Amino acid sequence: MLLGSFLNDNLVKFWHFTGFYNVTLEPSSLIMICVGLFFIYLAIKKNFEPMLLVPIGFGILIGNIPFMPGNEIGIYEEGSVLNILYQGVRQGWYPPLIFLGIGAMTDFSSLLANPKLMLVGAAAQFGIFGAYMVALALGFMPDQAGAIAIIGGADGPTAIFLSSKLAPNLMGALAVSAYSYMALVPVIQPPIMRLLTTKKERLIRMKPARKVSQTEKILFPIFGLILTCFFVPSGLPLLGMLFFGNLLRESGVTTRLAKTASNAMTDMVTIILGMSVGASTQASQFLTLDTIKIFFLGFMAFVIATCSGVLFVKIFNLVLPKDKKLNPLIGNAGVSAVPMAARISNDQGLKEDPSNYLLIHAMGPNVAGVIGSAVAAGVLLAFLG
Amino acid sequence: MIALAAFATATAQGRLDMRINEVMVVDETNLIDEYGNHAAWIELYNASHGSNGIEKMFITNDPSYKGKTKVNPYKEKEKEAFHEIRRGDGATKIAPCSHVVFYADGDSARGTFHLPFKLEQGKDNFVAIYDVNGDLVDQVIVPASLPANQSFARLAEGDINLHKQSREFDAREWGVRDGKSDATAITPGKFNARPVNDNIEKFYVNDRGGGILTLFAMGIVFAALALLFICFLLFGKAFEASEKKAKAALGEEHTTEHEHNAQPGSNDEAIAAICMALYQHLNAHDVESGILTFNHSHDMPSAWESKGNLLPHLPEVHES
Repeated sequence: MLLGSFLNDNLVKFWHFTGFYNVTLEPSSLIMICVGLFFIYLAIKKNFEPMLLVPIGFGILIGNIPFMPGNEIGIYEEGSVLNILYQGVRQGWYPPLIFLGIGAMTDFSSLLANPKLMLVGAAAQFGIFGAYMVALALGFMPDQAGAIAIIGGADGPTAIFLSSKLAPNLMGALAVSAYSYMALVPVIQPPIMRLLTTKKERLIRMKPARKVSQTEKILFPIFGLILTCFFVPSGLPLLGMLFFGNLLRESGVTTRLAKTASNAMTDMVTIILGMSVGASTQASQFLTLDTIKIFFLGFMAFVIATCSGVLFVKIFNLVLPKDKKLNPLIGNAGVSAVPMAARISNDQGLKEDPSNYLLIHAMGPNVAGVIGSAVAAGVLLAFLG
Repeated sequence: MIALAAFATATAQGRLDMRINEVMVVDETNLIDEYGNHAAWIELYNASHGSNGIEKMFITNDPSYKGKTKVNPYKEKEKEAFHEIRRGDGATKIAPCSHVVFYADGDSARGTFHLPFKLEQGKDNFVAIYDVNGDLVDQVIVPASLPANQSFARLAEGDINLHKQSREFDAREWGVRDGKSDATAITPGKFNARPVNDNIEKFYVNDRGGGILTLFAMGIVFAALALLFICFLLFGKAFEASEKKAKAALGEEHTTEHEHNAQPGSNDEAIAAICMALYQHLNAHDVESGILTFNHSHDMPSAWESKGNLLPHLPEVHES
């Protein structure tokens, strides 16, 4: 009798530990598991940003397996392994490390060859502030609106960095939204680009880029850091690491460090960052009306950024000499989805003229967009942080 | 032995000097926890001249647990209402005259300062802290009438002599704070909380449409990148000029030599052929399989093919 009671107690206890029992207490976690599976499907089957959506999708599965709290298992349980990994997201350690890798793998020579493309990268950041205004109109507080608006920069690490500082409770939805729209850049941008340009403008051929000396490439990260961070010191974690990574690459004497930063380290941080962000999206915080609003605002941010980039080039062309005109199709590349946005410029250019290659020209505003979005994040942090 | 006893007494005395200082039942605008959420909060104050470790003390919202010294882990109700402050967290050591905030958000798994119970609006909320041996340290009954976003605080909040006040609840020592004046300011301890940024409120009031911030921010983004633009425009021109100078210094001698030695493009082709030979020599063999074969090289793009991969269509050759 005693043994039976003992066994029964323990079986009941074990049953209470299982996910099958706990899912009855929190059935919404099943919806999140479906969201995670959908992300994995998109990544593997449709090849949408697989490097990010696989870790995020699987992270969503990890974060939404129902369990009994109190055993230091969950991502929000202090001391658990997942919680320790999540600290890098919450405290904003991972995004600067990713920026170090981005700096180490980015060649800024297309931008240096034609520095006026920096202004195109700056113009596209209006997507961020346009979305900020829309977010305010939808009832978000300024700090939340700022965190949401940064999605318009099309830069996942920047979005995570800023939301960890301004609106940590929205971070999961923000990160998923940012990465989703980055994957959808090829779908969102081309119709807008065609709509805002004439055939004649799309046929503009840009002058071949000049050769950039090694000295210029070395000076760029140093001057870039000093000039941007004197304006926006709050962007130092991102810009400092970006330019540091680029100096490792261009100095020519730290090739091994640059390779590690751009390959192994970035891969490791991406895995942990993606998984942690995914695991942080728990049903109670993710399945809300705010998340729907965030996805809408993310879409708006991308649309505004694309429009402002393309329109800026058109306006800029009014003051440029005839032989130095820019093809407005590179305006979309001002968002920092590198190199996807630049490839879209190239594809759209080739559709009009199969011998007009815009890739190299579009890489200029594309990498300027990385700097621009980091500066914009710094500005938002300075005002609202 | 005497020293040990004296130390133990001093420690216990220090913990008994902890006081519940301020409580908010419904917080929609004040404190944000480390996860970015608003929740009810309870502020404790160390009204002593020494640091106090509050680990293993108990905090509860249920008066029936008075005198308890242990939480029964198998009783869910008890676990939810009677919380033992966990050991091993350095943040539980409270400096003299310092505060610590506990969030009554019903989710103690979120960290040391998150409680398993919530405070309820519209009813009296009892809150008490007990020492590890079950001694009452302090208690308060927050009235049901306390409005949202207002706190119930000790009138002598922050006073070092607060510990001299009775451990029994005396409503005369407490008052409601609405945050509208300095005298009624809501002042939860800040070390483990992220207070709402006043600047955000100002932006919310003065820049509802976001136009001012947008104007400023876009101006700064443009200024930063325009400065870079000007800087590298000048650098570019300087480098181009120096390159031209260097070329000019080389003079016509080089040009003539080039014209004599090779037909146009022949040098590039020679370099390409050398590169191809080196590439095939270094990469063509499938060493891993242990069988020397060229098959593997068909699957791998050459340095030239990889350039083509960047472009969806290769340039068409137009014969004139």
